[in-house]
Amino acid sequence: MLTANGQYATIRDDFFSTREGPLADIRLAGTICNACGEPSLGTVPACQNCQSPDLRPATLSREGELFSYTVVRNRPPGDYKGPDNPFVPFPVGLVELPEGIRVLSVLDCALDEPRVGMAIVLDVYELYRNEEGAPVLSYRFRPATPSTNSEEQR
Amino acid sequence: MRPVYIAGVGIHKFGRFDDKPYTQMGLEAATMALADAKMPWSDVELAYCARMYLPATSGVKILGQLGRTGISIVDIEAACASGGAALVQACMAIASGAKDTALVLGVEKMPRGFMDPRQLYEDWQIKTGLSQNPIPWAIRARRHMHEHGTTAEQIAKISVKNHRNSVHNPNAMYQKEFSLEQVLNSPLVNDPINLFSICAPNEGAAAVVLCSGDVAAKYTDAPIEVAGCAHKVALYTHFSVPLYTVSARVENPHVTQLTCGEVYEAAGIGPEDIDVLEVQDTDAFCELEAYEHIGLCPIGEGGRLIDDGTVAIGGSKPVNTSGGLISKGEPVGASHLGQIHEIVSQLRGTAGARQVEGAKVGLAHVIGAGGNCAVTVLKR
Repeated sequence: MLTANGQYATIRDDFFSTREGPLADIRLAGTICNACGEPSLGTVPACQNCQSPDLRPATLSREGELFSYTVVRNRPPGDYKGPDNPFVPFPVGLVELPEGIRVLSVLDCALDEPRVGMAIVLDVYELYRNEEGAPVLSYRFRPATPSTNSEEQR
Repeated sequence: MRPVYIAGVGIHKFGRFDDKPYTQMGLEAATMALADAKMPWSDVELAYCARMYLPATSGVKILGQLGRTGISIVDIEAACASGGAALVQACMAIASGAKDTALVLGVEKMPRGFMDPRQLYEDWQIKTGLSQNPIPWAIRARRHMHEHGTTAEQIAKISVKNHRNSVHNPNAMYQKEFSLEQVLNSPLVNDPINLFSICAPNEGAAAVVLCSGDVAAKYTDAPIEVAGCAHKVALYTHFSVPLYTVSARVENPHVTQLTCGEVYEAAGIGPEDIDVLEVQDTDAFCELEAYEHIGLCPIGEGGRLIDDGTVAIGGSKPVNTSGGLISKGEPVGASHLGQIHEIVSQLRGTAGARQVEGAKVGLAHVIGAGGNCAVTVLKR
């Protein structure tokens, strides 16, 4: 189910390459600076690295590598839209994409599965339904190769 | 520019004071600092109030109780570095010759638990759950462990040290020792950071009275020199709340390194000259990282300083003799000025059981949301 204009609602429209078609075809979007080459997620008024306003749109890679990670053990404060009542702890990672940007993301995997350097892949998914009952899309990443044997680690 | 001196300091205990308004806590800290400086309120030419979670014109509401003298009183906010940002403004006014005296007050009364995420995050960050303040520290900690072999035990030992120091600090929220096992077995908040290694937002106030060398003799015979004081915001891209991306191509110096660099140059000292330090310990890893960025050791070797006792009282670089924010709690507007209170006590030799023998030079450091960082070096 889409919004009235035939497009998906999202958590932030400028993060996504398109708001139409199969979810598997939607990618993260951003800009690349024409002066220094620095990428960004979403649209920015100027390059955060060199301050140049000369930017071109870019679509970011689906595949990346896990730079580091943590786990959110308690329900995040405020208007959290993930699994709630009961809250389900979830891993969070800093995902390095080949364009040269690391993106903070929810990880769709077991709490003990993340490892520094593991291959991961984008997953555009329905985070929640808005007041009109339409799905609101967000992004997360999951291991490129699902683990078959994960042990709880400290 | 001319030298700036601290003539007096005051503090209201950090903790929870449900029935006490911020106007009273702030007033007590300011009054104590003025009494310590032997300076009448009518001599104060300029005042700043550092606070983040309090209403408009908090400084006027607090200090106006002492009488309306017509001076400029301005509230300042720079997240966890608010107190440092306010101190910089007052020091510049005196160093430039524009003013001879100034009072800097920090005060806070924060809600319990996680801070209101709307102060710091966009809607989508709250909805996805990427809005917990320890996340960037936790992710940095995990990477530090991966790259440098830092262990959960080393991080926990910093919490044990700070709690041990707090036992002798009546102004700390928690004055209680915890064993390494108790810290390591406390519930995880954001792995590897657990509950007993993290600071609590709370309430409290601290104040500093500053003056020029021209008038110092009128107020005190033991002035402490503000040898350097700077506030900076991190360069692209320092991973802190509320950022959600970091560059993998560009690496700039950490904001603590940049701020310390500016202060070391102004003070004509280096990290080797510092006798006692109060540093930001939002969590225990945050303190470990600060050892490296302040220059107490090379990058990656922070864990060694807790293992070999360097940063304990009795070591060559004692850190957080007050118990740190882990023990005191973090009333963000007041935290840096609370650190200044501790360093001044150390340099005066009045820190009691926490005293670092012969301390002559002390450093205070805060860092937080938005990449805000402040560093102050004091000399006797």
